[in-house]
Amino acid sequence: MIQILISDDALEDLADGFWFYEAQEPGIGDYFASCLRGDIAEP
Amino acid sequence: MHRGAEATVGARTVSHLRVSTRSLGPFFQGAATFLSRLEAREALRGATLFRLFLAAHGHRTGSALPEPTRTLALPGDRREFPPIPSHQARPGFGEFGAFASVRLEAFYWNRPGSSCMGFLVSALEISNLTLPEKLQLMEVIWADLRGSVETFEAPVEHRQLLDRRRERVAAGEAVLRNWDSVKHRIGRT
Repeated sequence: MIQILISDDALEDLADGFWFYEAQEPGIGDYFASCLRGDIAEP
Repeated sequence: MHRGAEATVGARTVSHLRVSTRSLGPFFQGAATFLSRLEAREALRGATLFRLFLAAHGHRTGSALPEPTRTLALPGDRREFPPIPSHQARPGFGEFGAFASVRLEAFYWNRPGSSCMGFLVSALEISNLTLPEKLQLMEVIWADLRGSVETFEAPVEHRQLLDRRRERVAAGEAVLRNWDSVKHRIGRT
């Protein structure tokens, strides 16, 4: 099993992405985060 | 190009994609909505009718998905078009696990005397899309880019940013965290 590590800096980028999409429409931020989790889990 | 009795029928492959099987449903819905709008607009012009075929050939560790081939035809012209040759469907993505190979193909039919139109989407048309449609379009583009990720070379500034961040981790100024422990906190902290 591959262990994935993420830096604080990258995590901040993802948070910025979350709030960018959430500002477009409530719920889209969660959709963004969900896609991220899915893509990273199934590369 | 296939020659019809009363019209010229053309086929244009829009994109070969790899789409996560989880997002296939929304992908089909978004593509259908997008192409329906396009078709409605062209019908108003009286020029071109579009049909969209999406063929998904799923491979999950080598075996087919419950629906190995799914074809979506938009309302409008109901004539039969040639089936998508299996050798063009790009099967064999089994090594990627839960991914499906999707061929998105737009068939266009030019009525006699009408102008020929290809499948081009302008910036103006994109600005007229709804947010869900824009997101779907982004997913299509992103999935297409993923297919060429091995040949993609990151811009110099991106590599420099990554180098600086590695240095910050090495210097103890930033911490590496386990993805599984933070993935549900994105945007929440």
